[in-house]
Amino acid sequence: MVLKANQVRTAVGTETSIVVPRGEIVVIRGASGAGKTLLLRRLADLDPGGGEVSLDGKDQLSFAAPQWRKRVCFVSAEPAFWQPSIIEHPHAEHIIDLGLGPKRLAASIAELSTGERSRAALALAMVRDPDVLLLDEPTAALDPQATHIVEHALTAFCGREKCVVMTSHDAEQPDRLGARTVELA
Amino acid sequence: MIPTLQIIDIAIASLLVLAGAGLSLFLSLNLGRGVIVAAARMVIQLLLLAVVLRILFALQNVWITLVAMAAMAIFAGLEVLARQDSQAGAKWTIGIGAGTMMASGWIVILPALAFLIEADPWYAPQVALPIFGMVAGSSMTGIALGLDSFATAVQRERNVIEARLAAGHTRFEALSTPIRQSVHRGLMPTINAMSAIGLVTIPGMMTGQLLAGADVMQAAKYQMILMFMIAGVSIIGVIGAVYAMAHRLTDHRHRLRLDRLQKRS
Repeated sequence: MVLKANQVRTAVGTETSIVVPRGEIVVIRGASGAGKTLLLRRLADLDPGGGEVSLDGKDQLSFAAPQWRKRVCFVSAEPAFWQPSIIEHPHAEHIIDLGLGPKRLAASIAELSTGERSRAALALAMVRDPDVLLLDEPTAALDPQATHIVEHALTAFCGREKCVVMTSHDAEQPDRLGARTVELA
Repeated sequence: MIPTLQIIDIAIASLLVLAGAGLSLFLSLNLGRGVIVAAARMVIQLLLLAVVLRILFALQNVWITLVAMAAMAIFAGLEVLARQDSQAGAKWTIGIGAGTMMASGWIVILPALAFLIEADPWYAPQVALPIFGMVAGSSMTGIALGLDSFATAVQRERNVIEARLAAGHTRFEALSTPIRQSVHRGLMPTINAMSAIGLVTIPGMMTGQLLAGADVMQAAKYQMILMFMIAGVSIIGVIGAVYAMAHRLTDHRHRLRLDRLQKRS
């Protein structure tokens, strides 16, 4: 067992419990407004809320919040960056390519497409080597080829005894990833 | 020595405002009422101020002088609140504005009164209160500007701040860019005032001293000390206020709490 959430509030009046073992990808599904993003943010401790979240049996609150987020890393559906280019971010010299190439990694953030930003944010999160990746629609802005590259990278990531919790509206994606799906009411 | 002013002198000077109001009426500028109301408020407020100051100067009490400074800081806090488009709660905003002004004001002004100006006694209200008023007035503008700029920047940069928090940055690391920009913005009026002073106008305190017959160089030296105090209080006040607001808009789990920010209706 690695990541466990017990009675976490995901929408007004709704609570969710989830257990994600190491090596597993879980795809959270549900209609817009069901609280998929809220669940990921709560797991990352970016929003206050009820319920308990733990990692390897250790309560979320026993970690300093920045330490927790280094191990349980959230990537937003609207990624943002705090350096002029991707390569200038910390540890970016070890970044996994994800089909971007050195020129795009050195390009100004403003020049990157939505899909490139999405892949760059995921690559920067992976280079920090977290135990859990929380991904909000990581392939929504990607073409099929880029989606395949990202899915391959996620599968490889989980092969290293880590896990992924992600949201997706792609009905076939869980099968391609060999993922378990959790439906939010 | 400057001559003692009579009521008739004030009445003659007020004719200028009445003439302005009349001109506004003639040109249909719709300003006359506003000008007259503002002029009437100015007269009443200055008379009240004179009455209060006369009492405070007669009392010569250290505690009453400090309480008067605190009251001025609270009024300044209310003014800071009034200048915010988005507020992190009225009590918090007034508290941050008044608290930082009072703390920075006392840190800078009280030693200056005792060791630089050498007022006798050091808390002499006829020296302490006008100086605190001038310093608080200037730093209030900086604090209001800094806080307003911070609230705007935090809302605009929300995605970047949360991306940094998600990457394991602490709240003050994640907010470092908005903090830096807001402190810079809040201190610009003070920096500009120091750079431009004496080029266009003779500053207020120096004017007052010259009218009272002081030596020009002595008046300039007093003005320098005042400007250093304004700069010191503004720097401490703006930095303190922006950091306090950064603390308020995050929580102990290093989460951004924009739910604590309300747009002014």
